[in-house]
Order: sequence, then C-alpha cells, then structure tokens
Amino acid sequence: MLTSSPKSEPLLRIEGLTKTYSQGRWWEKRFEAKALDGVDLALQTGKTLALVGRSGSGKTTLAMCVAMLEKPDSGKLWFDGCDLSSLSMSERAMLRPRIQLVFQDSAAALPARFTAAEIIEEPIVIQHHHLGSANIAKIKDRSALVRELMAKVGLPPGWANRRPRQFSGGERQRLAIARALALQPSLLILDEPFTGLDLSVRGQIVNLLLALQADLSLTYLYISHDLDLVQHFSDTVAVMDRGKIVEQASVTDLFRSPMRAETYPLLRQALSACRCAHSHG
Amino acid sequence: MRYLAVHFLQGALLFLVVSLLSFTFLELAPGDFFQEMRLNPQISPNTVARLRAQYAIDRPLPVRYGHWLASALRGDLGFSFAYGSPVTPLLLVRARNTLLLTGTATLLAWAWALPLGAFCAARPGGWLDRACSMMTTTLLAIPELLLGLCFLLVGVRTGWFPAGGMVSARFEDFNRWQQVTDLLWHLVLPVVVLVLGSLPILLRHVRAALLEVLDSPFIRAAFGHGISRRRILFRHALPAAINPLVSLFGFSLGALLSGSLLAEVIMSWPGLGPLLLEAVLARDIYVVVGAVTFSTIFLVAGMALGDLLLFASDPRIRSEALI
Repeated sequence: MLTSSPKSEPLLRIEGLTKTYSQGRWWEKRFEAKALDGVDLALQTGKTLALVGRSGSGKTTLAMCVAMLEKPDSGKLWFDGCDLSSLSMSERAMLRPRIQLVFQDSAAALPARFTAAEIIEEPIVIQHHHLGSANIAKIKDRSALVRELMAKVGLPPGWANRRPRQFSGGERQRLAIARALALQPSLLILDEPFTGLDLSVRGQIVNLLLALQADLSLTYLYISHDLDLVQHFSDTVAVMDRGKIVEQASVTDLFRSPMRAETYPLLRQALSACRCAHSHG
Repeated sequence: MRYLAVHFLQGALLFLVVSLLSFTFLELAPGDFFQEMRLNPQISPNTVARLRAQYAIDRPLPVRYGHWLASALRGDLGFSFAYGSPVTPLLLVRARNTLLLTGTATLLAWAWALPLGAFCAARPGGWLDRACSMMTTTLLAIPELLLGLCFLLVGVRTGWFPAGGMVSARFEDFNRWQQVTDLLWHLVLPVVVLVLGSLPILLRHVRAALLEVLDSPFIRAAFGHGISRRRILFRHALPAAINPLVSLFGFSLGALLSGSLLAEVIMSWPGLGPLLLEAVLARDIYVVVGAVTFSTIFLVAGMALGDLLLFASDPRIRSEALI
C-alpha cells in the first residue's frame, strides 16, 4: 500500500540489501559475483547523499535496486514509508515517477531518433501526469511543459526539435535532467553524471542541480568515484567497498578524519586532483 | 540527386557486366538451341545453317551482344527460339506471376519475423525464444527442395490444396470472387514454402538487432520512466534497431524475382523460375539473358529502395548526407 511517511522519516531507507549475479548454464560451474552484501543506508528528504567507492564496489547495482530496475535478493527498501518489495506491479508503476535516474553516458541514455521534445514528453505521455489544473494529455500543454523544462535546465526552448547528437555533452546532460524532472520526482539518482564533461561544464551542471534542489525540494542520491566533486555537491557521503557500506559520515567529517582504510585511496586521489588543479590554476 | 545519379550509374554498370557475363557463359557452354536439329537426318545442314544465320547465332559474340544491348536499351530483350515470340512480353507475364508469389511470401515472412523476433529478444532464453530457436534451426537444416516436396505431398495426399499450378482449369468460367479465391487457394502451398524458407533468417536478424539495442542505457532509462515493456520494444528499441533490418528488407525486395526459382519449379507455379530453367536447358539464349538482367535490374532497384528507406527512416543519415 502506498502511503507517505512522516517528515522525520528518511525518504529512502535501506536495510540489509543483498544482490548476487550468477553466470553460467546449469551444466557448468557457476560464477557468482556478490554486488551488494548487506547494505544499510538512510537518505533524508532534500539532502544529497553521495555514494562513493572504487569501480565494482556495487554503487550502480544499489542505484538500480533503488530505481526498481533490479530486484534485490534480500533485504528491505523503503521509499517514503513504502516497502518497495511488498508493492504490486501497478503500485510500483505508480511510484516510479517519484524515483528518476540520470545516467553517466547521456549520449547512450537518450534515444537517438527522438527529438528533445519527444524525449522529455514521453514519460509524461506514459504516466498521464497532471500538473496543477493542466491536463498533460493535451498536446499543447505538453509542448508548454517541454519548453518550460528546457528553460529550467538552461536549454533554449527553440531547440525542442533537435536530436541528441545535435547537442554537446553538457547540453545532453541538461536534456537528461529535464527528462527526469518531467515526472516531478522526489528522488533523483545521479549515476556519475559529470563523467566526460570538462571542468567548466561540470561546474555549470553542479550549479544547475543545486538550484533545482533548492527550487523543487529534490533529494539526490549521487554516485561517483570522484571525492573531489563530492565535497562540493553533497551533504553526507557513504563509502562502498565490495558490496558493503564501510563508512558513512558528513562530508566535513569524512574529509577531516576518515575512519576506514578503504576511504584513504579515494581521499588521496581527490587531494592530488585538487593539488593538480591548483598548480595549473 | 548525386546519390541517385551514383546509384543509377552503378546499376547501369552492373546491368552491363551481368548481361555480358550471361552471354559469355552461354556462349562457352557447349551447343546451342539448334543443336538437336543437326541430329535429325531429315533436316539438312543447310537448313540449320540458314536458321542460325536468320537468328544471327553464327555471328561473333561481341556483334551479337552489341545488337542485343542496343535493342535492350529500347526495351526489346530479343526473341525466344523456343516460344517463337519476343522475350519482353513473355518475361513480363512470368515476372508478374513471380511477383504475386514472392511479394505475398515476403510480406508474410516479415509480418511474422518482426513481432516474433521482438518478443524473442525481449525475453532471451524464455519459452518462446527457445521454441523459435528450435524452429529456425530445424527449418535452416531442411533444404528448400525437401520442404517443397513435403508440402506438395501433403497437398496431393490430402486434397486440401491443389498440387501445383496457379489457377484451376475452369478458371475462365469462374466469377470474379471465385477467381480470387481460386488464386489464393493455389497460392497457399508455394507461399508457405517460401515463408518457411526465409522466416528463420529474418527472425534471427530481427532478434539479434534488438538484443543489441535492448542492452542500451536508453532502454534502461525508459524502463525507469515506467514505460511499458511492449511500448519500449516497438517504439524505442525497434526504431533504434531498424537500420540493418531496412537494408535486409531492401535485399528482400531485390530478391523478389530471383528468390523463388526452386519453389516455382516444384510447385509448377508459372513464374520466371521455370521459364529460366527451360530456357537454360534449351539454350534459348535471349530468354536466359533477359531473365537474368530483369532480375539484376530488380536487385539493383530493391537495394536502392532499401537505401532510400534507410535515408528516410534515420534522421542521423539524413543530416550527414546534407552536410
């Protein structure tokens, strides 16, 4: 059953989540990879939680489980007080608009044959979402919403008929964000959204996301292996290693005094990137 | 325009090469149409020589080819020794019959291959995928000749379908509706043979193209937006996977005249196939060359149409072409 949680409850709460991938046919020796091994996490409304770790630590798998694109093997996942594992398919479909993803590779995450307008309005068409008193099923209302969203993410509304390949990397990422916002989500999962963008564009996207968070009360689950950017963008950080959360703290506490050995290499990388930027700056 | 001009020139070059090669191979093959007459003692060698001169078979190959090419460019593909009539109208009638058969079979094969391939790709390893895999493997292993003979046997033994031909003997006496149903009734077996022959390849191509696309991040994103599996499959994945399938469709169109020879011969369908076979055996040179070049023109046109469809369907190719 779908009910909202009281304000004090975290928007997202994960307890003991596990997920194992196995490969191999029934007559072969099966290869198993434990992607999540008892993950516990909590994310408050309106905050940004960064999930960091080395490649293969389970960050993306966790994101996919939260977005209901992967089914965990065991554990509990509550979103706004609802136990996602106990929801029926129709209830899950009703909840999907509230959890949206922005992928790492915007070029691959946007359908190449669709125009920007079609990309943004497709989720709306599917969900028949109503904004205020406007009926989104009507074409002209959808067009108005598309233009509004494009303007909100800093894209000229006149570009609505362009296709993804006609946008730059940063512009494509803005388009992906606009698509995610179309369904008025509560939680935005940002899976390494700044990869492949140069420093200035990265800064622009970070500022955009911060502005949107303030404006629309969004909650972010930010996945990255780059601690340097995390400190400018997040409230709390959870460090993942081999499918487990090994450390969770505020950004300040983590950078000042990390508790776990797994965090050190990530910090070292972040600090050396910082030094490099200063020496070239 | 430049694209069309280039394709036209390529087609013209192919037409020249194929027609010249056909002429040459037939010339190199032993004997000619009048070979058997020489064996008949009642026909004098002078008569045979006069006939050969009358039909210009005694002239050198380049001269004969030159004359044929000049008349072919005017639409006259020569004269059939066996039928005693111009080749062009003969080919047109047979080509019409072949197109009726292969056009129906091609449409049906694609109509089955697209949804089946899509559903197989949507759930790889599922019961439908396994069943289709088994079916396609079996059909690919069975030669078309055997398939045709099996269905012919079914038709003959059961009497449910006619055992060959295009229309019944009393076709002219039927009213319009009876004529249509009679024609459809005769179409069933040869169309089934052709569909079963081409469906495995089409289905596997559709499945492979979609499997590659269904792994893409934008499909995951679409699932994340709550878009239904069916809509994702046909509105998102299939358009993204369509390029190789459009090229394959163009090739299917190009093979409309040439892909059904065996089925036509087995099912006694009066198409281009049996005509070509008879002409080859009888050394009816202008029918052979005419039929081969007819098929070549169709192949080139089909491939060009496939390219045009690709151009029309993919906005990326359109914008690259305009740069």
